[in-house]
Amino acid sequence: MNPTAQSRPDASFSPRRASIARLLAGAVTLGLGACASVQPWERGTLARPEMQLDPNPLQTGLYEQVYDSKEAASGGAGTAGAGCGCN
Amino acid sequence: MPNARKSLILALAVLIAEAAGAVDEGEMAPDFTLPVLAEHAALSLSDTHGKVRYIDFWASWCAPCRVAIPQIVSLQDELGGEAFEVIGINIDERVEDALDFADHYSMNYVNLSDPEGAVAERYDLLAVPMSYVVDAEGRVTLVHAGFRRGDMEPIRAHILKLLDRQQSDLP
Repeated sequence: MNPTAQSRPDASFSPRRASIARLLAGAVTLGLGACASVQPWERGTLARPEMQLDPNPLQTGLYEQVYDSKEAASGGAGTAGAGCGCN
Repeated sequence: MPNARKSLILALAVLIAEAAGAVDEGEMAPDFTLPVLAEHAALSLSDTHGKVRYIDFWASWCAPCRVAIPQIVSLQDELGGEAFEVIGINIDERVEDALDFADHYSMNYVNLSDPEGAVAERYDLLAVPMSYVVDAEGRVTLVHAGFRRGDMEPIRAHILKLLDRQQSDLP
């Protein structure tokens, strides 16, 4: 047996691999189609309160402080406090 | 491989085509007509021909604008007059937001309203804030994207140089 022929990769795709590749390419194309570039002058929309991941940061901070106080520990949610509920 | 090269060339062509739309130094500033913020009057860039102009695109939601605008107010205080004028172009969708902001920072120069972003699109802004120094003939001599502390000093020096040149050109 020729050793060089053994180490050469198989250039042809099996039909199964080809269909998987087509599916992946289709998924990537659809994914890219979902992307939209936001122009600098359109970023005001992204700055609106309803567009934030946390729509009410003040309330969330309060809830986290109460939670920290009850658990006598803090830091897990990224807020300051020593568990006394006074700060 | 030839396909990959073609794709790369196409991607570069798209990038170059996009970049070509932006207004650059040395080009004539595109003229525009916009309503003055919360007023019925309108102003065109060509109405201020003969003056050195500092055009600043800003928005109430833009954090660096909070650093820039007090310094632009000082610039207008110092140099504003027959030979120089600041023109603000606000791109807020809600005029009330712009008015609150203008009131808070005691903006002392004319502000135009571009809520649809038509002029911003024409200038193809790279960032907000974005400013342009336009000489008396209407040519863009300086483009500045974004704003950080210390950015105003070179802009002011550039404007002073233009004003000096304009003064020395007078008969």
